Amino acid sequence: MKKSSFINNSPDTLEQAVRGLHSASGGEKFGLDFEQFRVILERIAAKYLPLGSTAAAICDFYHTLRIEELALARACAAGNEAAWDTFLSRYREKLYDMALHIAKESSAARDLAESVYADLYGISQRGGERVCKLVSYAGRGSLEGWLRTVMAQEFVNRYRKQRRLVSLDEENAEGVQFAAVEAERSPSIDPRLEASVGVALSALPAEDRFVLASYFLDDRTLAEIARTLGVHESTISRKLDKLAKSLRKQTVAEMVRRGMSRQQAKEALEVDVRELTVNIREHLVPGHTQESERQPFQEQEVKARTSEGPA
Amino acid sequence: MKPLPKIVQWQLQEATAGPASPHPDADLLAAFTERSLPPVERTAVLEHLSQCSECRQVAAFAEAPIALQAIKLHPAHSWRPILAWSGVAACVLAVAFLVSGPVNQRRELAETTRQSPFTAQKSSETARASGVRASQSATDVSEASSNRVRANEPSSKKTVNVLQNRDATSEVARNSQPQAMQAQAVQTIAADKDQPASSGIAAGAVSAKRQIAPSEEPAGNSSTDMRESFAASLPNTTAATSNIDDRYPRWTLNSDGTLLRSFDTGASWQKISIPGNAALLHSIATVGADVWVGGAGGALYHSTDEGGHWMQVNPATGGKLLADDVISIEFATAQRGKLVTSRQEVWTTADGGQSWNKR
Repeated sequence: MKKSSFINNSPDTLEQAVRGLHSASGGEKFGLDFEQFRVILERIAAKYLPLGSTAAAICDFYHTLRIEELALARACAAGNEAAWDTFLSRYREKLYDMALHIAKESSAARDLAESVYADLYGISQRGGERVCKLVSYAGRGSLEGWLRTVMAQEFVNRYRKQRRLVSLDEENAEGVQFAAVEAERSPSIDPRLEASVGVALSALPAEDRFVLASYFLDDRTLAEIARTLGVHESTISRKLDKLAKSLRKQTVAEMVRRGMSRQQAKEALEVDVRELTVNIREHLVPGHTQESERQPFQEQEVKARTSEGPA
Repeated sequence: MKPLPKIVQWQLQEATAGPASPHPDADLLAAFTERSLPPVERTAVLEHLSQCSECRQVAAFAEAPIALQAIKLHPAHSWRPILAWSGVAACVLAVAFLVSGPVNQRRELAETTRQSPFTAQKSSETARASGVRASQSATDVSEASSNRVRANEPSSKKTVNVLQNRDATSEVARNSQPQAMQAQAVQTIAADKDQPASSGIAAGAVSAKRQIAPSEEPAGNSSTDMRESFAASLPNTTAATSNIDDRYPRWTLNSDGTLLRSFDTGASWQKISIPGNAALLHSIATVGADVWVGGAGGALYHSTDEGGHWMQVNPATGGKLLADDVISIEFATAQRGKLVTSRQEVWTTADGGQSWNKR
């Protein structure tokens, strides 16, 4: 395997570290011996670290992992009874609480919790082999956080499927209308304006664009965004103010660079896109994203959407 | 807030119609929401999130609740699931009120919930009484310090998270720090944002239901003696301001270095042992659900989930590992913090402990 090159060169200190981690993880009592543990860690390192990482870097990385939870999860995946007992006593009830927090309503929450539990346990069979989802837990976040994320993914997937079915029906019925809207869009918007906005936005750091999208597209509150990023709410408030101002400024500057006068540029910015008859947001989302053919949340490249037929 | 020009909003929407990078797996997203990703990976996830509305949605759903929040009624965006929002909201709020009621009842609820596995009814009452006494005197002791805090922050009308450690032997050395720590905490948690009132009340419901993690020993175990002695030791070791953020548990280190946590505003305390730690603990700081604990020989531990799980942090700079006693810790936000060692070295971090600098 191509990734084994840095693993075989591991010096003694790395091996010692792994031994220490193995004993701290409590894996032994769940039937996870040192060799198995070592292989698990190596695979995780291979997945997340760049090729050619030094032993020191790998060692540091191993120390960031949640080894106790990792050992528990992988022992469960291997079918160890004691591990399952522990897992269930810690997380079985929490699963429902998590589901309730996500789905908000009790019967939907029960469905969601049961479905995730089935995935975890590996009840869903694929080609005869039981696939236990816990085998993919890598210990980068807490096991509880991972469970929440898996549950959130499942929830979002379910509703995306529902919504997609609905919208594809709509699309088939109103195919002509959608096509008409596409054409209608372009004449109203000066291409220099569009390009300038694109330039201004792409010059922003990822975190700023995340804040903009969360606030203006997802309607998240300042408090929620601040919490996600681990900063103070007023930081987000100030950031949004600054961003709005600087975006205007950068966009105008870019338009001027493209040959418009400052006056023209400022006027162009004030054009109200709402004059267009169709709600752009709805227009852009289900039928027209590139997501239709994508497998839900597996690590694959996003495939380009084909224009014919449902996914 | 000045709205964005419509065209910008529109372009933002377009940009989020299809991300360039593959979706982060559940591990990366979980680590992101728990703020334990190193800077490079965090930026990569943010880059993807800025372009992918679904992963943003997943990340938002995947965040642990701080308390049962009142359901926000969203406008009918096409990509939000259609559920009976108002009916559900009414149900959840009704449940929250029924379960927990006003603050006083919440304390009793927490007590009785934790009592059942190990103590008899009668002993619970004595324990509760001493717990209440202790926290009252703790409040008295803290009046002075909280007044100082208020003097420093006259405009602050917000809630503060309790942190504090008191090692009796080095009280003098750290005299100047408590106010600084409290002032920091005030700045941090300052705006209680738009949390509706019910979230504070409902926090009691959540904490009452909380499972006891394996490393946690309920202070008292099978007898009330330990519980009472912990409670009795509290007036000397816990400094609480009167503006406490009840969404988060309270923490304290008592004089022999035992780490204690309370989910019921100080009525009862559990001893928290950090797996793998044998060092005496000297210092503690909290920011929301994040807890930092420091001790002898460079011991430094960080939890992002109110003490459920701990990660050992090994600050190193210029190839040298921190090895002196950590006698004080301050975190202004989850990212920016500093610690002071027994040799008066100051170590700072701006990324939640991933990397450190020594002053």
